[in-house]
Amino acid sequence: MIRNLLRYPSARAAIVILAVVAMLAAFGPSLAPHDPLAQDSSALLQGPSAAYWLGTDALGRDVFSRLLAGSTVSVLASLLSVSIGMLLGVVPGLLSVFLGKRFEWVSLRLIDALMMLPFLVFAIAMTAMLGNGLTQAMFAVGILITPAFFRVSRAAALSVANAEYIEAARLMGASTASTIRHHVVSKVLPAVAVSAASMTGACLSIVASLTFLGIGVVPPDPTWGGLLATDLSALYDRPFGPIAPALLIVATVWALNALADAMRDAGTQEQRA
Amino acid sequence: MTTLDNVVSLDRRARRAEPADPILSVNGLRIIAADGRELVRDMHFNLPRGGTLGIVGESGSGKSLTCRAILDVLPPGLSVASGSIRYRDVDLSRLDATSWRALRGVELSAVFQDPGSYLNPSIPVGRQLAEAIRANLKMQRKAARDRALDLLGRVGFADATAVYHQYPYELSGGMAQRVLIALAICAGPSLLIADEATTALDVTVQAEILALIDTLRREEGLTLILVSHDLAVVSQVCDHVIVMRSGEIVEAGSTREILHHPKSAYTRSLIDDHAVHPIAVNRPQSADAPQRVPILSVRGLHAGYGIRTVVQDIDLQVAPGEILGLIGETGSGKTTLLRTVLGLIPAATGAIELDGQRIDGLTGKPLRDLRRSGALQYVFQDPLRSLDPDLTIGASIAEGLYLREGRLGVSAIDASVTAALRAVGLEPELSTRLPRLLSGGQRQRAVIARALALEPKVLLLDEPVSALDAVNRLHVLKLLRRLADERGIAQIFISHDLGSVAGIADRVAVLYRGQVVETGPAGALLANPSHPYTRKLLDSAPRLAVAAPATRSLFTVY
Repeated sequence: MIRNLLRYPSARAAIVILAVVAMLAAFGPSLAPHDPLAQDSSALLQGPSAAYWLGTDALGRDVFSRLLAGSTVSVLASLLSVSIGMLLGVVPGLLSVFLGKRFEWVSLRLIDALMMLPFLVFAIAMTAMLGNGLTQAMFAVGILITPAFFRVSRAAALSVANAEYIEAARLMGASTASTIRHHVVSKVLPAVAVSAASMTGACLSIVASLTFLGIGVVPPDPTWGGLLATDLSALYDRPFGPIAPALLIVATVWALNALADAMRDAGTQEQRA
Repeated sequence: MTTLDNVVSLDRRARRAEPADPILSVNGLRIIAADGRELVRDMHFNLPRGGTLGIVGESGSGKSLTCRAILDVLPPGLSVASGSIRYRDVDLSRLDATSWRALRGVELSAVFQDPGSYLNPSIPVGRQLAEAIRANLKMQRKAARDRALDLLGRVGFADATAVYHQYPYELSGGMAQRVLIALAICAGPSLLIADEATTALDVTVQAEILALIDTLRREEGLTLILVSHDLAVVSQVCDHVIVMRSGEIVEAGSTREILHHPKSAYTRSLIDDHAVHPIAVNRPQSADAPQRVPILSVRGLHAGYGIRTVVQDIDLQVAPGEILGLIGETGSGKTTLLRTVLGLIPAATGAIELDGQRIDGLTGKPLRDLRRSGALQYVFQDPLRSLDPDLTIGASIAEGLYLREGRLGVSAIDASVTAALRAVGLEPELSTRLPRLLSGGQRQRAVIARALALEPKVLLLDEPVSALDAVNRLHVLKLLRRLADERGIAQIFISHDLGSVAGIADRVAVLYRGQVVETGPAGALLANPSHPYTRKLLDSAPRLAVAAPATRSLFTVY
């Protein structure tokens, strides 16, 4: 799978970009040349310079340092949503195929109901109820992306549910749990990995949107979306300001989508071989 | 475009007047894989217009690859390394994609083994046929529809209009193959390649399809290449035969010559394998045979799906060490019967006893305990589909052992896996391989090994040799017979192939429309069938026979 993946140029580029983003998320705050919260009242709304690579914002904080420091929150938040969505989606998705008609009906209706909820509005409502924090917001997003994982894993499981080797396992007395563990998980995993990659991209833009709107993050803490918002408000003084955070968001989301596409293509190639 | 013009502008009538020209000539064809392995070596033949050529060989002999090379549809990674393929006066290796589109499906056409996978499941078959006609012959919608209906009639559908509106899933394998044949001849091709076109069908249907291909060939003046692992199938239709093995021509000549005076030992073995092997029939029947207590008995069984009863009033017994052959064509209820015994389908009425215990109607824990005991094992028809593609052979065999005695320990389970592989004649090293890396014969043995590892008392086998070529078939049949004799494993052996059943079964039961119409000792029943249906089954089994006098001496292999 990995070797097949590396045959796609887009996948190679995506992996490089994601490696950089992962480094930023892991070490960003310690790499930052300045304290992201330190204000320098002698340098407000400056353009790029040797001291401040991407210039400073209205409070005299170094934008480059804030971008690096914001990576951790932005990346972790989207990973949190994806993990929640995967956990709540994949397990019921598999069980809906193997656990009988009643569970199938109930779980399908619940997923239908979830799919009706609008992302941003639901996330805003959750933070209104549970308090304004990124964890709450991303928990809400995680619940909202559950249907994607549910449907993907259910479809993959359905395609093998009637396979003869599943019947053979059942004829040897295998329980449902054992059948799923031994025969189904390996068939479902590639599809789930593909949607996890594209969902991480989607969540990243949702985090950016939410933090852009000021939801989930309390002001001094930097995030990519938050930076975009402050930069936009100072567009007259720093017209190039939004470019850096926007570029970072776009590049990461593109990389995740490109990786997901390449994974899917590599997977279908493997099946044919 | 010049080559295309050449192809299209050929005046057929003018061509017919001078039949000396070979319509297809293959010269020194060599096909290699991406890693340089040679898959076909020096394949060569000249096929005159209207000639019929059979290519015979076991799986992997290169017979299908040769056909695919002719149509320029080799699987990815394979390529023609050298040699030439000429159709009339066109060198096919030089054609571009546009010319191929005008040629393939129009002049050169093919029918393959698995008809279902070549039809779009969501479009009625008649419309698919009409679309192909419109695309190939540039006809109006109405005219294409009429031609489609006409073709469906020609390929043997009494009610063409009804079939026209049916979806592929509504057709049986034989019907789907007829539709595929209609598709293949819709543009009036000159050359038809039938690659294992009847292999997946049961004997009565196979005979009908072969007769259809032969009739169409005569009517349309088709040149035919018939590829099969079964020499008997080829000998019924073809004037000339090429026997292939591991990518090379072993022997070639007229059908009569090959059948009566085979030069190579391999061809002789193909002919011998085809003769019914009376292993069982000649065995001394032990005196106490009738008194033996049956290990599995089925009494007055009715079963089916929902309100539809598929099998009725079945009475069967099988004793330890005995093989019961169950024969009948597709839809006769053979598989339903086995699935009912396995508890996959509930029995409506009747009793099923294993070792004196009722096993019908079991559910929940008692059923799971019975299955984990491994006393009753099922061997599926298609070994590739019944093995998890992601698990090694060893892991697949070990699964049942873990389920039965999880605490046994890894080394004990490994020992059992090795013993099971040895028992079926496979190297224990194969246990680390994935199923797709094994040959068809090895896979079938692996599936039998999976059943054997649990030391079953009864083995239920669903067409265990139908997908195998003659050589592997014989090996597996001998293995099954040995398991019955040496380990006393009772077996119910389903097959539509009378040769296989006669070869190893002690007793035979004939199933027709869900009922056992005849039962008795294998030798006596097959030698002297009393029910008309059994006689029909026996008559339609393919036999080695010279089809027609080999008049076309223009065919050359050099």
